[in-house]
Amino acid sequence: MARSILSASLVRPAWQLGSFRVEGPDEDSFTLAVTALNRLGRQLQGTGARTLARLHVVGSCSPEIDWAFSEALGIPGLDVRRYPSNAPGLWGALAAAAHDDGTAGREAVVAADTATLSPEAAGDRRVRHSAGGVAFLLSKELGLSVLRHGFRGHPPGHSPSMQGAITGWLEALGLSPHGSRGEVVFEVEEEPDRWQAAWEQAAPGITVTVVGGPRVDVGRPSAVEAALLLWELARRLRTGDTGVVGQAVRGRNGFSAFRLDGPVRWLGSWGTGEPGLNPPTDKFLIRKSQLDAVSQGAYLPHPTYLENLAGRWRLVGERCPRCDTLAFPARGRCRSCGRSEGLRSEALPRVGLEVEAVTTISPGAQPTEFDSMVETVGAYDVAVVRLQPGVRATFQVTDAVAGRLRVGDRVAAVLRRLYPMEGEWRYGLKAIPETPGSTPRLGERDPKSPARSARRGSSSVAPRERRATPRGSGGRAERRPQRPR
Amino acid sequence: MGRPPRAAIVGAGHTRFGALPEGPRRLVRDAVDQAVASVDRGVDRESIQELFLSTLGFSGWQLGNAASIAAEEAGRPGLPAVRVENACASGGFALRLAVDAVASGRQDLVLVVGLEKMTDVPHPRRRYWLGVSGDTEWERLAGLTFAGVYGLMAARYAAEYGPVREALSEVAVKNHAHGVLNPNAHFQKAVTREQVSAGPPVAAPLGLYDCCPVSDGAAALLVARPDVARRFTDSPVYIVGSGAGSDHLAVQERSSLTRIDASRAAAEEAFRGAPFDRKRVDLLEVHDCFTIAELLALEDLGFSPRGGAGKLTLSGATRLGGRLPVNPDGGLKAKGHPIGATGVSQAYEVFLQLRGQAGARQVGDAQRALTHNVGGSGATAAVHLFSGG
Ligand SMILES: [Zn+2]
Repeated sequence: MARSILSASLVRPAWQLGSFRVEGPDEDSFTLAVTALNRLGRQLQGTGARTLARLHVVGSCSPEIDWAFSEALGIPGLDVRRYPSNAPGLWGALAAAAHDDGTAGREAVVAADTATLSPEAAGDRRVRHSAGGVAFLLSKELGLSVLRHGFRGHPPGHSPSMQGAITGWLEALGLSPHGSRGEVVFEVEEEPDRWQAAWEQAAPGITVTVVGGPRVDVGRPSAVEAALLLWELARRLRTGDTGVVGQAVRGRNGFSAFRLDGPVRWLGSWGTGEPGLNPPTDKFLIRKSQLDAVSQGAYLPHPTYLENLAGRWRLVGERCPRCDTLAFPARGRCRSCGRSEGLRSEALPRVGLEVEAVTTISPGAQPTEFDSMVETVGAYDVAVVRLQPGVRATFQVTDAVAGRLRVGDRVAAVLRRLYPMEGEWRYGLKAIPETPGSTPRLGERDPKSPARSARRGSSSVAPRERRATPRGSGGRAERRPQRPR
Repeated sequence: MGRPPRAAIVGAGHTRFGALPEGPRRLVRDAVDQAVASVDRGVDRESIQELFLSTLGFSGWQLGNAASIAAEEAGRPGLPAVRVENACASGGFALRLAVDAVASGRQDLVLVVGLEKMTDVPHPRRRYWLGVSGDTEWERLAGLTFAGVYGLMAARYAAEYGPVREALSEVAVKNHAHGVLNPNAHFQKAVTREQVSAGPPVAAPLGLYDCCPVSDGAAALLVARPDVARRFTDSPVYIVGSGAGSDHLAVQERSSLTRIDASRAAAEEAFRGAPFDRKRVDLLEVHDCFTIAELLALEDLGFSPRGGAGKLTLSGATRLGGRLPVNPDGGLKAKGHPIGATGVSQAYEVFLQLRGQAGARQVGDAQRALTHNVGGSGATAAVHLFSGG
């Protein structure tokens, strides 16, 4: 078997990533990717970063909604490329983004997906639904190597020792097991403790973090897993060390890995908010029948839905050139003076929005469109928020325990699934509570990054702790909006 | 002393409100028969010249052309007839059209029928229909029904003016106490402030006892040109002011979350040129679909300063026997709220009150009254002023 190592050199020492992880029934790979990219974009404000030219999407959302990424991010003509929703897909996306063809520094990789058993596979079983997204912006001068998925497999009947396997993998990545210094984040399905010991013996100069646990058929999306491993690794490479992030694959005894040569200049990251504000995971158990439920409620025709996607997805309102009145939603006529010519689109802020009024809808008081959601999450809040003085929007509140939001609190608007209609998911903005200080300033490490608190636990997490979380089969196929006609 | 009356009510009918065995045709027939029978000197149905049917068309039972059914059940198939729809304010707007029909001299005698049949629908379908008059795109599809929208207004009201729970509870207690005295009311049962405050939550801060019920019912009015009114009765009830207004459908686009400007505009129009001002009004029928709505109405209509309606309510002034009785028939809260019937029912109550026929709930020496009918969360509103013969 020949070596197949992809290499790429990057010119500028900048490496940015934004990440988040939430769990909810109103998320899919599309909304997760958009939110991760928006977080990234906000971090990059003021750093001179230029508008994205190309987006590499690792996730299960279908190519039919490539146009929707352009619309949701507000970047006309964005070149969207897609990769399978697994670790090799992510390595492929990173290698492609790192390849300089004139758009260096203007390419992002996003891994985002949900993991819910397909209704068919789930039957009537209650399954865990989890979701996550990680976005990376690649710049030059990072050393990147990809060891392709399955490259380092072994012939049937020949199973080398763990140490032997490790030595082989490191060599394949161009690293000397004994001479190298660096970090490895290694994920394995079985026997994490034995693997940890084997790594320590095989490569004493390398600090190894082994995470692992048995896979079951539901759980976390593997591309996002891999992206979070990579993030974890990147956080540690402050020096000139080399790092490897890898996943071993059961059954094939193979190893897929991504090599990263430091130093990584860490400009910032974004993590989830206060864990306490997130609802208990058990609230997001989904039944097959609910996944399939189709609204019998109020009707919004598809063309009307498409009419103002900029408003629905990006909070774009309009300003009157004559009297300067700003209005949302845009209706093509000034509310104040009636002028309909020359109105300018204007994006309203999506963070730091003040709650003017909030109510908690108890089960039974929801419109019928939300019946299946209520069966899953119970009561929910709806808030009227102030975009500007006198300009408001009404949002359902998500990622929050109902009844806690107060008038005067601040929320951020995020893209989510709203309701199914005409065989498609309709998307729009919802509000999530903002916790003061949960968004780190540029250049600071986020003490509450998902890698540390929300999902993976700290890097020193005991391997057994992870066994409690089932993992799984990747996102189910989703219904998607159709391209506007 | 203001302009002359624009119209006169010479007869009125009203079915029971509640979960009724009668279907919609029967409800119309009963209300019209009662209205005809109530005319002191009698009326030949043949002299009715036009019909205005107020109904939302809840459940989709007969969404189009329902007015022809009303004409059939009124015993006048062939009559010019039209359905008027402005959600919960349909009745007020139907009355407004009837007033214009006679005030313009076009007709001498017209019939207004308000109808809604709501309880014969399976529960999920009923819940679908309950929100159809709110903003679909931005409010309903964010997860709001009307309880939710009024819950938002109540939350904002509390944020601007201070705690409001006691006053909301008192609105429910008062209107239930009035409902006990109204044999047509859906709820004829008193409640305590403690019961109201401890009710199951619906759309915080609103609970179950802050919400009007889902009811069936119909009401009918015979509206005549003032100069022919005395052909029918010695004690017509004159309509001396009619006002209407509208506002943005979605609350988020309105100038304030604690005002219903459509109500304010409707009241301003109604009082313009009216023979009396607010100080001389003896009773109010206001649109209390949720308890907070009665507080907003008192302020929007100019009977209380902003933020003062709670205090006014807690003072007892709006109870029967108080300085300004509000909703002596129990209001939407206790009498019930069959959507299209409500605005017509309010005028029915005024017809009884100003003729001294309201029995146990009679407001002493009632001469002048106001009705206030709101569509949904305030997208439309109609106000009428009445004086006794
Ligand atoms: Zn203007």
